Amino acid sequence: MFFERNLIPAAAALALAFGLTAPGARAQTEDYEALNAAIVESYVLPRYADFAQATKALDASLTQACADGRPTPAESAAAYHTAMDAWMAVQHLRFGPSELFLRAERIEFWPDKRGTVGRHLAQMTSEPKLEALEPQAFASGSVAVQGFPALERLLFDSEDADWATPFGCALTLAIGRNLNSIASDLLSDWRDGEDAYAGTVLGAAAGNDRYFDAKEAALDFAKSLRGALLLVGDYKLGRPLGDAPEAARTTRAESWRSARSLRNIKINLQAARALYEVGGESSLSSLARAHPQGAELDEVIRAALERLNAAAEAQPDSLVAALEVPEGWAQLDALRVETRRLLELLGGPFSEVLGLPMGFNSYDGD
Amino acid sequence: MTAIDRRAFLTASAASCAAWGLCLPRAVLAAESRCFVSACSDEDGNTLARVVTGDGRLLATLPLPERGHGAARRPGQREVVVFARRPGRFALAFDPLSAEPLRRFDAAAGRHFYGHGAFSPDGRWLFACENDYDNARGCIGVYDATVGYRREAELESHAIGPHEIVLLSDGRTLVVANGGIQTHPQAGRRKLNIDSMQPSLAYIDAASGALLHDHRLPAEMHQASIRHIAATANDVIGVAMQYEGPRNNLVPLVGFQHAEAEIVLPPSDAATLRSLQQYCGGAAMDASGQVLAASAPRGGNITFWSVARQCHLGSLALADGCGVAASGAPGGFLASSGYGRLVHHNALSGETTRLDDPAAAPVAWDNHLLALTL
Repeated sequence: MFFERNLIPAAAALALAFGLTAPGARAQTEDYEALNAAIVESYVLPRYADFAQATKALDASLTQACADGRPTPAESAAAYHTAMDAWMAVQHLRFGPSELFLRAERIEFWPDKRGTVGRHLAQMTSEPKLEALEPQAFASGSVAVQGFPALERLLFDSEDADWATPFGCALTLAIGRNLNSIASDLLSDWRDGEDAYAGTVLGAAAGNDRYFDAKEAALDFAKSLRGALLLVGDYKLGRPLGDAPEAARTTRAESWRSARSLRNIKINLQAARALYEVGGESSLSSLARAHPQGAELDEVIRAALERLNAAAEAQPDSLVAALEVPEGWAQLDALRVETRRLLELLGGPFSEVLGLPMGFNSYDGD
Repeated sequence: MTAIDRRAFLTASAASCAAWGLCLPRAVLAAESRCFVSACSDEDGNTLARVVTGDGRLLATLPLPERGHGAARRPGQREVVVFARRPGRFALAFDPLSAEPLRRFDAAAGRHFYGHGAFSPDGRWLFACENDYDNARGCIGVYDATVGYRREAELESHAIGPHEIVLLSDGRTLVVANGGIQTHPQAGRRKLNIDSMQPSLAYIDAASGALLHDHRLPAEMHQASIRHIAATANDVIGVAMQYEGPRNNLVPLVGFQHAEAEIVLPPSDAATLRSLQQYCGGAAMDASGQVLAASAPRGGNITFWSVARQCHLGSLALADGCGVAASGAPGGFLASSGYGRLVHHNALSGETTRLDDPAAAPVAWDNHLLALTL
């Protein structure tokens, strides 16, 4: 086993330390404003800039590889992986610009429980229409074929030779161009102009049409942290692992065709850790620590994030490869369990201490 | 059930529990005492329904297949139905004393539950709020509890997004809070029509499904989703809403409505409005019909409103507090939170008592509490 049992104290044990209304130094408006500013400047903007840059390189690489009518993994795999790495670093930021125009789904339609990507790709290649690949038509067509999962099939699925046609190649190019276009829009919506979303977050203290106050903007970041771990624990590990080694289904994993399911998780966990710690004295970590009873909580969370990252780094990039080792399933399941425990801690005592109700009833409308 | 029958039953059920190797109930209800049902989630993420006594002690636990939401008591029977949280599809009838499942039934093809339902006074018919999602149409599924909750009919809810439903004292008029928000399971919980949403409070004849009358807010309030309602014995409806409009546009979210009159939104001061953070999660009337509780989990407050005077009485700070139910005394409520708190508060006396059961494994309480007397 990777983890000793109960390294993370049960959320309840920590929760007992806090009263009905947590007394003492609750974070103030200025603290949330500083937190928001630090995260936007040092986390959100650089990451979206990387994503825009990586998809631009992907677009260029596919164009070059397609010059002979058939891009191969050898020619474009590196650019694909770099772009996926950049996506994994922002995948959990599911608010603001990423909510618009189905951007997140268009970048990566996953989990794809009904095999929609394959079905829509097959439809598209069986009745090739070049006009469907025009940028506007493509962006407003099937969400499932617009992003990484479709590109991954075209590049890496060796049993599927559809890409090795002029139309397959044109489709590959359309995906690359589309991904770059979405990524550029994400960056510019966050960064540029009077309506930049960065301004909406930084101006939240005065109240605006998106945020009630600075704390509510901070809540979006706290939810993103929780969202990253939820994706890793329940979707990226929980679904493929199942309840027992014999129930494992690797085709439920994300990016299994390009053998990078665990590489995705490594980057997600790095992103979660960075989000918790970015901003020095203005970080989520510091806000927790500033609470009279938050020091222990903060230590537990930081240690858990460190252990999760170390445990993930010790694994190969491929989930299939990881499961070929005798103890592989148990190790990944332990990673899943500890991720779950950290989630409970974030949704419970952490969110209670910070007054950021991301837990349960306030998470979304019911 | 007489006291003797009850004792005999408890002895018998305790014996059968022991025979099955199950634990004995740790708390035993006195006759005619009140208990509360709520969906919840434990620390390992298991979804459950729990039954607790009026003083907060755990009485029974029922595992749920997925996250639950609201519950309805079947009149005349020791039976409660708990519904899946939207867009879930299961409903589970169970015995609140033993937590023994009695019947599971699922939403019909092309429908999912919204998480609330109400029984007819004779305990036969269950009316459940449902989404006919491919047609973007709200409907009320009608189930016959006497034949294993067979779905016998479907009524129109007369707007999109029927969320909570109550049956009035005449036993045949349904009042439905149509939230107005269109969702589709393939798009998860994404809201699809925020710009054009048209919530309503619909009075529906349970026998014919006919719309008797419905009530809407002024056009500039069309983004206030009428989501949770509660009724007094005299059929005054308390309304608790969720605002989908600009966050810096503070609007009143708690109101009253009676008979054919329009919805009244009592004016309240900015501080009270701010304390709701544009979002109410639940509504309940106290046992005397004097006080409406409207919970605001995002704001971390339970707010209390006078039914007669239609004004804000006061608030109880409770982080992520959402479940509210009448505790029996005039002005008395039990409230629950996502952080596992259970609190008794009397809105008339201002008295607050914490009711956590230290012996029970902690849970995050889900949105709604149901009060029932066994």
